[in-house]
Amino acid sequence: MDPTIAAYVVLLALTLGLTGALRAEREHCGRGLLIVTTLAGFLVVAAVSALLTSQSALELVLSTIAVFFGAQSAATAFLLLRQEVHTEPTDEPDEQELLDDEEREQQFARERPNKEVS
Amino acid sequence: MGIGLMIDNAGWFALGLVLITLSALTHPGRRRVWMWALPLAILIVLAGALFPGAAGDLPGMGWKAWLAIAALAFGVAAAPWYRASRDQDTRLIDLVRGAAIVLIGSGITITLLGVIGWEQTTLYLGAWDLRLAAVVGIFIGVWTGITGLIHWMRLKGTLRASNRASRNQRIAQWAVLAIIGVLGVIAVIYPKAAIAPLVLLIVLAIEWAALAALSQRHEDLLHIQARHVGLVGVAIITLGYVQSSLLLLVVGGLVVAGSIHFVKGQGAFCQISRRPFYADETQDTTDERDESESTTSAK
Repeated sequence: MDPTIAAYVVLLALTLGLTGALRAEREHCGRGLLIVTTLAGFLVVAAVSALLTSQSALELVLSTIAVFFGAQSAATAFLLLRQEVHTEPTDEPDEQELLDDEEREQQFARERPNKEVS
Repeated sequence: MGIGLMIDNAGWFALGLVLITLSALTHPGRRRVWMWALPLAILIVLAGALFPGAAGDLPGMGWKAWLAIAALAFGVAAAPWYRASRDQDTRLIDLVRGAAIVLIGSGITITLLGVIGWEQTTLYLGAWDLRLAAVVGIFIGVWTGITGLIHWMRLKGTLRASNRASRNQRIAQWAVLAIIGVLGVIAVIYPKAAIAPLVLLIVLAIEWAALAALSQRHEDLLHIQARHVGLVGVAIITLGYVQSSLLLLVVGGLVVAGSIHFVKGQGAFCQISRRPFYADETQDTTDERDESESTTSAK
């Protein structure tokens, strides 16, 4: 594979993850970590493709063990994520909304004395 | 190698699914069903890689595909499902323990894939980039796996944390890391004489990782594990490069980004009931018992 293309793709994905796709407020950061841990389960795909292209008995045995442990760690990561998502309180107000409300109130309080003066 | 193409064909759909899921999961208030999309995406790619083999389109690949399916099934069955009851009041220590299990499994997988990559690429003298990827993979895999193992044994109470490393010890550790780097470079440049440096590299990496993981403070374990998740992302990137798969490159980049977010943002978890990190669980019960034992023996 062309190293330039690879570097370009990795850089794009990193930028995407750092700016948009994974950004969340502070209290959801833990969830983001568990999400990417689950994404790391794509390791098992690499292990499976190594198994499919293995050419000797040694490679076959090693890649079978790799698939086994990859599947186990991916499933464990998903269990952690499920636990996290299920314990999330559903009716909790959004942090950003609270901030917005506060800002609106302050604006309101600022506007009122102005009106009284006029 | 046509294998990357095989991954990427199904991978485009999986990647779209992953991106939609990311935006759905990071906004609170969306439905939690979305989390099932992540394993679904992995399954889509796996099916895309396995189906041509299992259907018998490619000669000589059928039984390998079934072997892969069996190994996958055993691996998923070996995950600690019994811990996953959702009403249980989870403590941070359970979370750290689960993450340690994840790190052990990923570390073993990455190490083995690095060894396989080394096996396949030593034949071509000019392919130094593939050898570099293999050596980096072996190092990251050993480091991650040993760190996960030591963390797990510490949380079980089998091992006690050692004291913080002194200055001389830390300098010695850096020296060991430098030796590891030199050995890696030798193995990449002279593949004919690479067996001894590689074995030495693995042994030194085990020592280095174990000593570092033993002297880490209990409060820092989760952060160090988050950093190792980032390293797993780097390993996925190298694997994507070796197997020439764009999907793995993108996924690796996303994993690294998520780990950076967590390490920088000091995030918290919902499953430890909204408390700040380690308010009252800096030590496991077994650790306390060990300490009382050690104090009595000191008397």
